[in-house]
Amino acid sequence: MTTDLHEATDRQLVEQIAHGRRDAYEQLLHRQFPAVSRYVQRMLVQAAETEDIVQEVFLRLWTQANRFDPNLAGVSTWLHRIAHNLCIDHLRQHNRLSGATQTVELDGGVEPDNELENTLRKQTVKQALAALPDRQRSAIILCHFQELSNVEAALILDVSIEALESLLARGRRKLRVLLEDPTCS
Amino acid sequence: MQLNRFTEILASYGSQSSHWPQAERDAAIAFAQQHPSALGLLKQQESLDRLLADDKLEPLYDLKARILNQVPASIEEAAIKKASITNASFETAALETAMNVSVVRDDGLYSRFLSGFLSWLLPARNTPAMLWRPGLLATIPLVVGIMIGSHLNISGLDDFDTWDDDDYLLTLTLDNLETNP
Repeated sequence: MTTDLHEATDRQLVEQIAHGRRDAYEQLLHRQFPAVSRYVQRMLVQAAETEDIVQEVFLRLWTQANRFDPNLAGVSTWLHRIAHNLCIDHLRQHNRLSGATQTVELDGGVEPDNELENTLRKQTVKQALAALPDRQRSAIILCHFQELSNVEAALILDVSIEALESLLARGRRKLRVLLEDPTCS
Repeated sequence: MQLNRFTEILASYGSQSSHWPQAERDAAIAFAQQHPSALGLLKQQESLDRLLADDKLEPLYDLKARILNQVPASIEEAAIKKASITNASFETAALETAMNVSVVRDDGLYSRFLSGFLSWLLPARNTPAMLWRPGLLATIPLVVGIMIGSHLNISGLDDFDTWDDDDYLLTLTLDNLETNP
């Protein structure tokens, strides 16, 4: 049985999960956890709620597996869409409660070396990503970091390919300004 | 492939050809090889891609194991252990899972409606903003009671509560006493 699950496609595993198969759930969790958790980490930029959101995504895999429609999207796309919606909900709620728009100050003008330089550079990339509007950040994470196709990314963001490309181009333009000339921020 | 489209692809997807749209990838690669001007455009995007490559993430230790521990071992266990699960979200999940038994066995309209209704009423992600749903459900009996009360013809009961009825019952009693002293 275990061998069967190893060879099963993601869609077959979701079918099994809908019938209450915990071993199928474990197998799909093992496959999808790295990608989904990376997406949420980058969307929330290491917020304290990252683990809660990732947990919620996989909770929905368990409870809503019977709602998955293989004709609409692949399993990875479906899970990314759930993750995207949860992240956007969380960010909206967070922004509403804090009553503040995102203002991020990048660590520009520093001349570090060795390990410190690497650490600061990594931190600067995170801050630059955090400075992007949510949908631009999501588009870049999906296409660049998650390496999803433009069709899948458009499906997750619920936009056309043209709109996706517009989000990507604006996001990358802003990142270049922030990262290549941080003093402009 | 035209220069305009090649520029758009680079601006949106960056310098790595593996990120370019599959339908246009071969044409874009051929364009880059044939046109020297494409090299300058590629280099512009390469510098950003190199910076983005520095973004590494810390692993989420133990989270996968914690997720797995929260999921019931089986549907039956989900129903039995529902009360002992402390996490509110997973308590809802266990309840929904228990309800899914009927969905699996009978994929009828009623089961799907019931499952959908429960998911709506008790969303897996409990937020204060969702509390109006069970609140609304709790007020339904009150509203129905008020509606029934306001439409009930209470005056009709008075028709039975007349002296004529009392006289009739008294007569019956007296007749009964006379025949059976």
